[in-house]
Amino acid sequence: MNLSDYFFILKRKIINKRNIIFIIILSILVTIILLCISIMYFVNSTYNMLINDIDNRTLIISKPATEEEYQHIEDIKHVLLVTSNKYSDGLSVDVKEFKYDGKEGIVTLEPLLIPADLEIKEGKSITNELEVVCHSHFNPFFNQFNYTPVNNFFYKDKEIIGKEFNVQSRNTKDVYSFKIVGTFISHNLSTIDTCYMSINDFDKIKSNIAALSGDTPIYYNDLMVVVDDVTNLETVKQELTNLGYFPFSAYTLDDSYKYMVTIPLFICLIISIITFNILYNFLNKKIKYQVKSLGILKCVGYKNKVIFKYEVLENLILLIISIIISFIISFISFLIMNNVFLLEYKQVTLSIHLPYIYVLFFLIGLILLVIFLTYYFLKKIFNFSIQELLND
Amino acid sequence: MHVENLEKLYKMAEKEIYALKDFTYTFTKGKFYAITGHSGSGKSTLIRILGLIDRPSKGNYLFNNQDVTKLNDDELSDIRNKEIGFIFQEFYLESEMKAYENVMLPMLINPEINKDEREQRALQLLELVQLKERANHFPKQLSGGEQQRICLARALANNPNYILADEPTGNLDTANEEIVFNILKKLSTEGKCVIVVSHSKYVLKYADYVLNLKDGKLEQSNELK
Repeated sequence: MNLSDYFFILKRKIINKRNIIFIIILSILVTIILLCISIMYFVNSTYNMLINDIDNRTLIISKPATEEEYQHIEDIKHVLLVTSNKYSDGLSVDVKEFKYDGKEGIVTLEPLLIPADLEIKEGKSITNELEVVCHSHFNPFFNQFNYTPVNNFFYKDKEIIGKEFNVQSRNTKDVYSFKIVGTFISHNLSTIDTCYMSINDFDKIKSNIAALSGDTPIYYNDLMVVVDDVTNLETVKQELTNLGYFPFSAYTLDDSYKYMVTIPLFICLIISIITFNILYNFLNKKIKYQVKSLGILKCVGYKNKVIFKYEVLENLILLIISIIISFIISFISFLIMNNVFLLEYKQVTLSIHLPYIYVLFFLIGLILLVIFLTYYFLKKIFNFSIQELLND
Repeated sequence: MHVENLEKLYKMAEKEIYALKDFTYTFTKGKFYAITGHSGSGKSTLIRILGLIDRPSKGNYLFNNQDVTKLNDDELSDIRNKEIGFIFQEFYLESEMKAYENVMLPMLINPEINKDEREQRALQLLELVQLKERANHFPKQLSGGEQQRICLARALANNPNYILADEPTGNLDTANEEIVFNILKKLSTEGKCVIVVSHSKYVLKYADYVLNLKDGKLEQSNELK
């Protein structure tokens, strides 16, 4: 019996009120689980993004006296970069080339300290002087309008590549013209008005004076030590202490954020239990309802394995229809959440989406569960004689 | 089809009831057998065992010289599909499937019938039971007599050598009863073994042999002229 023969029977039997109700209920439950998985993933990945931000991987120490001592610090395991703390803060500049509603754009310029932190989306990375790469959702106006991107105003990747803007140096008052050569997807929390430039270019425009306190200028006299991973921060801190420094973290993240993941996890668990319960009861009742029909099939010579394949196929079709509906609802939900809810916070580009690998595991689990339950209930049914099945 | 010392024992609480006891008989192709007897005499039990729908508690059953009491479920399914056509009093048609689709049902698992031939064969069988024009009707759109004839067409789907019927005309009027018995008689004269359990006196008009059961035992077997 080939697949088309199974469909010959299924085409008549699959469409009924019971199955339609099952599809609706299962679609709702699978959608909720998909949303829960996505929200859990979102919260967790945002937390990881936060803790792996360069600020959280940076230790500040006072400048060493000799070049040799400097070398010692660079040689410490897990240290990625040792440089002046001048580069720890970006530089906000007015850019009159970007104008909206009578207001000039403001761009945050950052030195590209660790190129691996950036993923180029369109165009190319910085290779020459006076080149910059800007955020893939570039918006130089969100700062001017209460941190809300006005009228969903974003530059599209291809629109900004090739654009030029002028910046006046804080050191020499010279004007430099920067060209946008690419856009990036940030793996840390870069704001959407950020453009990265080379360290040399950054030196040209940023003053060595950190701030003015009365008449006394404060210079950037400290060093920033960037560690490869936040988990190695303590090890490096200990090494620096052993060398006689007093390192301190530039920024410490509150752990409470991490516990937010437990709320969707808890909801997800409850919905999973309900889904299992509904699946169990539905498949049990469905097969009991079909007992006479199974008796007829057995009577005309259908083997148990053929009936099992037929039942599995029918149940999987119902499940797949539910999954497709769930995916459609989920995508619409994400679209609404990302464009309405998250828009308010789009200083950084955070978005909820389906984490495909986890969703894949969940769907495989669901399919295996349906196959197992079908087998389990049919095995019970096959213990009865054909006459008992026909008598229902 | 040869059965020897066939027994069917039902255990109910502490009671043992023999639905069939010491039944020995040989059924041959080309004959029409009528099994009669009062309610509870074991007729339906016998025909279900003969049709491999139920298993005997004891005894031997040789089907085409093969001891079917030793066969597994899958092997019995194969014989039911290709060698036996079974007709019930209650019809047991798939209500969601059209008449011709019900007839095609046993053909779907028979590799000997080509996929392209199935529908044509189903229509031929419906023509045989005088229901070709009802091929696209669902069972609930058909009368009891018509449903039983669909059942008969389904039983003949794979051209089996044995046609077994358990009270096939129990729910039918006289006109339909005659149609069904006429078809069954025609099949027996074409070389098939037809075994019918019936209360109807009409069956004696068509049968070659009549077997009378009483309390699970063969009381009498006669050849009818």
